[in-house]
Amino acid sequence: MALRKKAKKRTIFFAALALLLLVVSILAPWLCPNDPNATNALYLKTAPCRQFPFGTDSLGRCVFSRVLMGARTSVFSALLLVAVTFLIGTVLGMLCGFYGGALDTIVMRLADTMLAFPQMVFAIAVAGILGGGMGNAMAALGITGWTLYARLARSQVLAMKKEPYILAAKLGGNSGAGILFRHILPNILPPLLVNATTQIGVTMMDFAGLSFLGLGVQLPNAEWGSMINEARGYMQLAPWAVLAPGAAMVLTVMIFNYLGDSVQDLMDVKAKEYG
Amino acid sequence: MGGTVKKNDEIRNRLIAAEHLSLSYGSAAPVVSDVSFSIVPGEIFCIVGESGSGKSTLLKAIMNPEEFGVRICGGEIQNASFLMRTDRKKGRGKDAGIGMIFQNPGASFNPVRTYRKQFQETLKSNGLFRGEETWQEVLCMLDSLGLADGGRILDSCPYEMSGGMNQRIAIALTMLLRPRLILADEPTSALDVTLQEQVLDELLRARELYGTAILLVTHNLGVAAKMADRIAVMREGRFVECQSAENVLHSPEDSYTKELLAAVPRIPQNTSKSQSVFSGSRPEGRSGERKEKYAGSCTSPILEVRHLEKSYHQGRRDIHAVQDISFSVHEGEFLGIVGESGSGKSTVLRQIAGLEKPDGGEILLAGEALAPKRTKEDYRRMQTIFQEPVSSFDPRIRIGKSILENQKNLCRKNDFSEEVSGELLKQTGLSADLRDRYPSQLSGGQCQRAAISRAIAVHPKVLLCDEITSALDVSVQARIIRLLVRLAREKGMAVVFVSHDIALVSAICSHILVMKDGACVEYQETGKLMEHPQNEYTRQLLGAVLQV
Repeated sequence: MALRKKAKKRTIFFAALALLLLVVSILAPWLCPNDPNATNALYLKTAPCRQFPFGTDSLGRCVFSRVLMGARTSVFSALLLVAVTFLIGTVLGMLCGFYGGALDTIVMRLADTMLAFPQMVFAIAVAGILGGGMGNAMAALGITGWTLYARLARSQVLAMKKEPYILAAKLGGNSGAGILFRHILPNILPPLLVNATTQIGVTMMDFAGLSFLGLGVQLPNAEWGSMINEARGYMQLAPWAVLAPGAAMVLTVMIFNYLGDSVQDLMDVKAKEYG
Repeated sequence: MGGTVKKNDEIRNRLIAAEHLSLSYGSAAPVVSDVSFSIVPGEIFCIVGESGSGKSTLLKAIMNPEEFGVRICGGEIQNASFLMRTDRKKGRGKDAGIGMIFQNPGASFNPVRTYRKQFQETLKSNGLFRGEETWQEVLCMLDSLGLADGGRILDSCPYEMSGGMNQRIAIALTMLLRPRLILADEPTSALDVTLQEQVLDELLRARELYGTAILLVTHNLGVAAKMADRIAVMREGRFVECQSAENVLHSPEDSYTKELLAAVPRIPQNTSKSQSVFSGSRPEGRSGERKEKYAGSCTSPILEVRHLEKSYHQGRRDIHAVQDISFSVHEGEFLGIVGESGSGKSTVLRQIAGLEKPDGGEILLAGEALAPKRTKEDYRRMQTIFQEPVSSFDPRIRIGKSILENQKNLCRKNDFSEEVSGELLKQTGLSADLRDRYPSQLSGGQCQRAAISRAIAVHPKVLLCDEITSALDVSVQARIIRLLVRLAREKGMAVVFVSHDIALVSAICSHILVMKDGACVEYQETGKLMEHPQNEYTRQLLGAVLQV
């Protein structure tokens, strides 16, 4: 019981932090002390001061405001992408696991093909072909992203399918979809959700990577990856312009990873308690 | 005077003794309380109890309390000096006095290393390995325990052997270490009945040859009756009775012991004289009665199976899981299908239920052949109860809702209401408020009752039961069986009862079909089958039943 309380506390703590991040990114336009895209020739590479808490970059833009606005791009696009790939991947994986047959073969071979490419390289290629932009970056990551959820969902369904209560549900006259969504889904959801939560951080890193390479968000919009890329040229002169988005990145990824971890712990403890 | 001397001798002799022993896990309430016993050389002491009675905890405390987190919170265990672990740092040598046999026959060996290597390893770590000489000893031991062709055995791997063989080889290895005392934790409950007999004989032979004492923990009174010199009956952490086997089995003093004894299914010795709690449960047991009853009104069986076939491909081999199985069941009648694990009995049931497609043959329900794709009405008329009671309910759905879901799916709208559930639970001896519980909050027996409720809720014609009591304790089993028999009679349901326990089946079924390797070896009226079994295998099964 004590274990469970601890795990619960941790989960709530990190969930609150994640929520805070989300709120900040929603309210970013109103929280910014300065216009994030306004250049200012008088304040080039200014060190942090009262007017510019994180200093300014080579064009005199307020780094703090840009980090706040960047949170919006990074957090939202990562959440959206994870949600969409999770949904598609899970449904496909569940159908494959439950019905098997030709559908299973086709989808799983497709997933294998996707997984044969290193994800980042593949995403770079896709983004390169489609051109830059956040939408294209998302598509690039999404094309391979769903396979992870599909494989996990499929294996979970395969294991669950043999459980007596699923057989009982079948003999109880439930339709295939009824069994799949009313009996199987709620029972396999916890591990899938944990997996998705841990993927949020990874996805954010991938976005930043693409943006760093100039294949993500387009200028002048703020995004942490592209900010680091822009500022790395004068890192010795204005380290704050690199450190601020970098630190924001590390913190955010950490929060989401810890959230995933603590959700996992909570599920484990619960599973142990209910046998 | 002579008595005292003898008593002193006994005290000096005893291998292990527990006095007013209480055990607990951590700071929780004691799991075992105030247990006293002692074992002298060459004695077989049986501890009998149902699940949760504390018998395994007791065994753990004797083996190594620290390792299992068992705390001795009262009394003490005295080991004879040679059993004591003299030097803990020396590791494996410590247990030379005590040998251990586990329930799971696979647990004793690494499945992919040859027995020879594993024997060598164990013997070496106990300082007993002396090269060629030792192998001679090993072969002798295997031979003396009835395992001929020892050389071949030593060069094979555990995965190639059956569970029973593995268990026997484990006993041989244990005996090689020359223990004074063997602790056997349910050594046969994972084995088929015919194998069980071999393993028990092995243990008896070991005792005879080497004078080893055995502490046997079992839930099976039959095993205890065959083996024990003395039996302790354990319940809720206490010995309710601890006497010579003779006394416990024939003139038990405690009411719980009596209840346990009564719950053991017995093969009816004489069809006209039935006994035990199952008495009268074979409504159509006599051929005459049955013919009378079905002569006029109901000549066609409710369920008929004709030439059922099923085979699997495993690698290049075809495995005939079911070959040419035919039988029929009438309303209100029990048909038993008996066989050991892998005999195909469950496959037959799954095919009838509609979970697997037969490769050939027909299944007729009320005279009509069932299509491979079942309709809801087909499902309604035939309900299945599974072996694992708790996992046959969705862990996230309350019991009542699970039952209701079945009704909603299979019955017409006005055949049920939200309230029927409570009434229904009462029919199976459950209180109505259990419907708001989750499956994990019920005991195995309660869950099995709920599963029966779920099945009868849709008014089926045929009930398919797949080993429905083998996960339950014997006293619970007896109650579930009585319930099933009563319900089947009240509702005129036909029951196909699959089990490995021929004694249980013979006590309730009017006809028995014996399966081996997917084929029917005998299909007969129970009385005739019991009195004159035609097939060698049936005789073997019947012979392996341990009478209490």
